[in-house]
Amino acid sequence: MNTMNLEKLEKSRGIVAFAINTETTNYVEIAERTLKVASQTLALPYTILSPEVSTRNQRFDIDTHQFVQWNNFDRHSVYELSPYEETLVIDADYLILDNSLNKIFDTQWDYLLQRNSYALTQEWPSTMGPNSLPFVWATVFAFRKTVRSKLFFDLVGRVQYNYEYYRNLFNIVERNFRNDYAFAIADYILNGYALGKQSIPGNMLTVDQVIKSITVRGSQLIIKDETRSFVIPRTNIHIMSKAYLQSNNFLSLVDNL
Amino acid sequence: MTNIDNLVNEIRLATDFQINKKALREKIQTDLHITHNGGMFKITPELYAFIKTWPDDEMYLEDIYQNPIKIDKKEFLLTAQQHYQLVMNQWHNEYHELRKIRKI
Repeated sequence: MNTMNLEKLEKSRGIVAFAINTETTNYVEIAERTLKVASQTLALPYTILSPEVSTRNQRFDIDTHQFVQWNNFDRHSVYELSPYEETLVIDADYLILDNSLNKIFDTQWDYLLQRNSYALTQEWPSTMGPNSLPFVWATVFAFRKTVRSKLFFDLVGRVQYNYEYYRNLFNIVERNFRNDYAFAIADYILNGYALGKQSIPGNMLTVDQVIKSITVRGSQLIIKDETRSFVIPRTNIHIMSKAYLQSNNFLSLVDNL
Repeated sequence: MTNIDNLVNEIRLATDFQINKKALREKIQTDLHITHNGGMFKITPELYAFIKTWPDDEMYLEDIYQNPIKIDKKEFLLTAQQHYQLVMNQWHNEYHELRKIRKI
């Protein structure tokens, strides 16, 4: 396990990301870049977790249009592995560019999920299947070390280990395991088989296409893909193009933020 | 470039502006949130007007997490007004910048 900042403070708060390298993607390098930015933006310490992988998964890579190795299991272990009392967990490909997430720590909750997301070039489905639960996004979430949070992550683990059963029970279309699904199911069960309301405020922006460059111009970000340019405000973004996140272009962006 | 190519390009530019506008609005909607006394509130004209008309100095208000939160009316109104004005000014300025680069 590769961790940093393991000293636990009295009332500690920090950012955690999972990063496990695969044959095609250097997730640790990506996480080091994105967490450096997140740490600067939110003024919080960070920890990168690289636990041993028990099972391997696959994801569709938008850069190569092929299925590639993906180690997305055991996210539920974050409750045990996080050195912080209050933890913000982000995917390695989530870039935090504004400090809006600091506000959530002033309010009361055990865990807080991201329930809304939109993409630049497509409409996401609102549910995990035609007759399933609404989407929850495990890209960014927060938790405090409480009994209810422990229950939540134990349930996420249970869903993961029995995914085929829960997939059928909740009419999830996709066969591939996603933490998004496990989180949505665990949250639904823990709320007494009712939809949860507590959410990180706002709508998470996902940049879902192959990116050539991102540049900062004042308070704006200019995102260029193969054919178009988008001008968006300086906001938190989920970047799906792993090729861009490993490029020198992204390294320059991070160094200049 | 043929007429159909021109048409495609023009529609693409118009679409891009709508996407940029939406991304800016989403950011502003997030920024409109404030915390008060352990609660999270989104400042809207309706919320501000409702609190303004409340006759007492203290009240309980439902936050976005569906919890009743004790509110100090004067303090909340001051914070809400300042925050709302700051964020809306930011929206206006950034929207103006976006319009400048709009081609259609």
